[in-house]
Amino acid sequence: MATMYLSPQQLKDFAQRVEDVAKKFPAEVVRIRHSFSRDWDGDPAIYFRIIFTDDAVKRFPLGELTRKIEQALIKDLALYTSEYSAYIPYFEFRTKAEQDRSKDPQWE
Amino acid sequence: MGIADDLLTLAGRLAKPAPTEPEQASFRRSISTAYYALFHLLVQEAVQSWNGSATARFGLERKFDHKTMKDVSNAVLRSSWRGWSTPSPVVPTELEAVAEAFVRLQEARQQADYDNAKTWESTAVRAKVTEAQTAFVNWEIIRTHPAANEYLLSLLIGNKRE
Repeated sequence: MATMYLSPQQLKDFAQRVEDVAKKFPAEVVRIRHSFSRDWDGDPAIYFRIIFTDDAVKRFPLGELTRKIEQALIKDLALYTSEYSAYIPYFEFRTKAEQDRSKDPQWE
Repeated sequence: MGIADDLLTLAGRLAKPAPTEPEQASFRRSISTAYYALFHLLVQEAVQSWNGSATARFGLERKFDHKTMKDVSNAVLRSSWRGWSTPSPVVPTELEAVAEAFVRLQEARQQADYDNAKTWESTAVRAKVTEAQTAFVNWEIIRTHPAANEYLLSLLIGNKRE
């Protein structure tokens, strides 16, 4: 896959749009972090790290919850149809309680 | 789909280890097993139409390459995949979901098997197993669709050249 250069402004805009998606789901999402990198094969990738509220994972089936947030990110950020389509999106989820316990800085 | 279904069941079990079992090792095996469940589901579906001997079928199964399968699945997601018939078959959303799950599970499997610095949380592992389970359901819905048939061929020989 080809890599394309993203300007600082593009990266800033992207971060803002990620935050906007998180704000659409205040009852479900605590925050979303992301990073541009390479995946295990060396293909350009965007890694999304999504923290759910503890309540959300109790109230909704996990598959339904993850799908909803993934779809919102894919649609609102046009991940398959815009300049970002050169990057493969990957999603990982954890709850607030799990993050509070692990204190992983990449998720803060 | 014997082995694929069994692997999926095992992945679900490993995602919820007993307190006496090693948690991180169980989580890693769960993710890896979930990926291989989907991998074997697709490979077995692809070779099922082979009319040759069982031995030849096993040989055919070994020709499936993980990276080629990822590249084909990725092309499906970006609408750049072309089937082998003309006109190319319309890709149902369920097939897109299967392709999506394949790409993501493969990356998770690489991390689970080789990145020992990474710590897995229960929610992440259960989400991956759920993704594989959903992919099985979606595959059942579209397995006889022309696009699914041509997707299987692409998984073996790669994306069609223009």
